[in-house]
Amino acid sequence: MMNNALITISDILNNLSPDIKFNSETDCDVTLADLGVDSLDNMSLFLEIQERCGIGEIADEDIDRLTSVNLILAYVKERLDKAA
Amino acid sequence: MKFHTNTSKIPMSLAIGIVDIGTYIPEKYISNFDRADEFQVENDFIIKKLGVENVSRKSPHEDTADLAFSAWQKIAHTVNVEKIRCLVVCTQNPHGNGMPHTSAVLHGMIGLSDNCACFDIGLGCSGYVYGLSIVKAFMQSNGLDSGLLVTADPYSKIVDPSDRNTAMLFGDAATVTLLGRSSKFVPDQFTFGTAGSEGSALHNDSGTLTMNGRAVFGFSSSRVPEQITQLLEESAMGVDDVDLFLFHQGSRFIVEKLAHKLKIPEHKVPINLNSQGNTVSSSLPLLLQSYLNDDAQKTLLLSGFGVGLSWASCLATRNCEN
Repeated sequence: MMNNALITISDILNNLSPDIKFNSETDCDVTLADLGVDSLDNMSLFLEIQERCGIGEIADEDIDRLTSVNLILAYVKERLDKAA
Repeated sequence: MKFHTNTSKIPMSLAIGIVDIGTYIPEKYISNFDRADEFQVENDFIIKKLGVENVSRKSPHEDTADLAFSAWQKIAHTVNVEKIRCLVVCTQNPHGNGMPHTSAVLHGMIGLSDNCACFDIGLGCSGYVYGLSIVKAFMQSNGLDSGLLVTADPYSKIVDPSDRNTAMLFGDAATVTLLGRSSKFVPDQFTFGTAGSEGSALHNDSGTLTMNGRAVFGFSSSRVPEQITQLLEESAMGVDDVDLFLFHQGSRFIVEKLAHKLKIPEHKVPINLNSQGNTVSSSLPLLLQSYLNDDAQKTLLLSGFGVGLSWASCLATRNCEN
């Protein structure tokens, strides 16, 4: 399931902006800011994660601390586990 | 909730439509590049994401009706003032202290006749589409031949200059749309939406504009595509049947997101906020004005969305009988 989440997030990131090139093998601990995700990309990223990962609304406070793909993956897993 | 005012059974020559549009953007502006360091943004972000290099600013001596009057002057020479029977102003930042209503102040400035109806409507970025529906219906209902729809919402009155969320985005402008029967475009198939429980995302907090960008973006990128998809379905139309999609110019980012979500080719989605910013209810008429005399554009879709939260869309069909 988490592999699917990584594929989904990878797809979202690589379609956010031509400037963002995310490599799921090497970049999972790189901060979103260092990947080139700006404040507007960030809004779009989490909106798509909500929609495509089926985890419902992500609170602003949570978004503020989810600064890398690995942190996002852990959060998605936690939300999916709670919902199961 | 949605309402349709389908007047397609009325011949084009008799339907109330858009005759002309006058616009005014103050000459004074603030460059976002000059404030990039202060707001810690890259120039690329200003160009590629906000799409706003300058935000227009009214002069201190200009108030809401003054902006509207300047827009009126652009088309005044083509209009018989005596024949104007209604004047509707869309604003949430009215002239003076809001009393008398801005439309009445403007009525006096233009010198319209005593039998001209005047009232204001309090809407933000959805206001132009709402206004077209209101004025069109008001004119048809009362047998009026000529009316004016004004947008004038100078957000510089309420923007906190140190708030990067809003100070780099909103600009001042005003427009005047002349409606009548010898029109260039006839607006129709109106549809409206409101999410009042989410209104705090964009509101006036004791005189200062407050915007939760994430909430506004989430709303805009979900509700607006839904509404447009439904409007096209109900009109038995597809993206290919519309020549141009005129979206409220909230930011380059949101306009591009809407185009992407709706799978609309880039050339059908013009963006023009670079020199003045997001001008609230004036953004759609500022955009529409560019295409009034472009005969290649036969069918337009207009969509405004923002404060309320409120969103409204309609089609506008070129009146080939004029």
